[in-house]
Amino acid sequence: MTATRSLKGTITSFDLANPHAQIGLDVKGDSGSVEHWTVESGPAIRAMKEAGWHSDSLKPGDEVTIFFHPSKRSVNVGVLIQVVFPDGRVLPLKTSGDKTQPNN
Amino acid sequence: MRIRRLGPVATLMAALWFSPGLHGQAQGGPRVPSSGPKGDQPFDPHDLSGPWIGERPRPGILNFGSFDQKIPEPPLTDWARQHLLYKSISHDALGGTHIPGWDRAGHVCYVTSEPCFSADPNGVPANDPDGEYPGKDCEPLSSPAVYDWPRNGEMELLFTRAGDRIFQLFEYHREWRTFWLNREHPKDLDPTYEGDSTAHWDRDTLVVDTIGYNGKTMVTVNVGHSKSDAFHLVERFRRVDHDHVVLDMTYYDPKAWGDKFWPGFRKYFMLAPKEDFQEFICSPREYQSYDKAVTIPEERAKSTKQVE
Repeated sequence: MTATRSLKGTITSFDLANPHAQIGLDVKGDSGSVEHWTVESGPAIRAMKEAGWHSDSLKPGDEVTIFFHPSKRSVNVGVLIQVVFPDGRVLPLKTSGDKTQPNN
Repeated sequence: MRIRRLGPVATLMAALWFSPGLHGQAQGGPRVPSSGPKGDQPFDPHDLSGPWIGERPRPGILNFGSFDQKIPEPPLTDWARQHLLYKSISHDALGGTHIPGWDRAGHVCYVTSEPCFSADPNGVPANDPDGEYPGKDCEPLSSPAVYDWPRNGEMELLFTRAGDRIFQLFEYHREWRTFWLNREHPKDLDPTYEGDSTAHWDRDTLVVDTIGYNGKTMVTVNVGHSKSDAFHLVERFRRVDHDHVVLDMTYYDPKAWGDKFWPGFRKYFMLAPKEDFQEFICSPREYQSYDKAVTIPEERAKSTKQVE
């Protein structure tokens, strides 16, 4: 995973579950159309919790910017890097060996 | 909702930690290890209680599932080719047919997100999101595949003794195994997912011998065929210092490999006394939800696009 992308959107769902946590995100385009994305966590829940995540870390309606590695198969799916809130708070996802995390 | 601490379980674990019940016949008492800044405390090499967590990668080892084991698999028998091969596997293979661009600058094989092989040495397609993997559909992982998950600072395991048995507990999918200390394998063994394990101390090494698998589970996440019901696993656990255990494994499978065997699989564990043994239950509903959101869209969009 070397490609990195960011999207600003609205959280529609957050499931801290196995096998990987999933974040649902609605992204409004310039034309007003809405694209839905699903971003999953690479590491398992333990790693996320160690990085500070909880099951209520994201709620439907939260406005966030998500940094992620997009799927290589041209679908609206990606692997999470971190979430940034408008007030600057960051929910990171520390992964060993991932050299592509953006600078905070 | 935040996770609650398992108070009664933690208390039991603490009681067992200080219990002599898990210890074998220590020879010469506690020893001071010779390496590692974090391991230089007195320890009893016959105390494996833990809890342990898969070590993070460090120079010389990846300890990331089976990826860093680069020993070729023995050739399969004709019977195995007919009866054991999978249609495809979800993770990378240990060898086989390279994907285009695998040797480009910056591409790192043996990491989940950077596939190296399009098919394993037996022609089983690899890196298929819909492919087989240990625990798929919440099926049991079994050994040795279950060891693919204590890794990279994740997924604990611990040992606890009750009388003439040592129980090995895995955080991942809550699997557990029984090591019998005072008996041989029964002659009329009924095959099971976890097989039958006998164990004994060979000086400072706990040697575990397992047979009686039911042939329904993978060898490991990176091998494109199942174990046969003749699979035979030998594990050697050695506590090398206060904070580290090394596990060496050898795989035998007469139906798959004839008289050849597959040696050299090694896992590294480190002590994690402050870690919670977390709930990691495989829920079919949660997995279906994940597949619906991630796996199926990717599968539908599968293309021949080369690695970027």
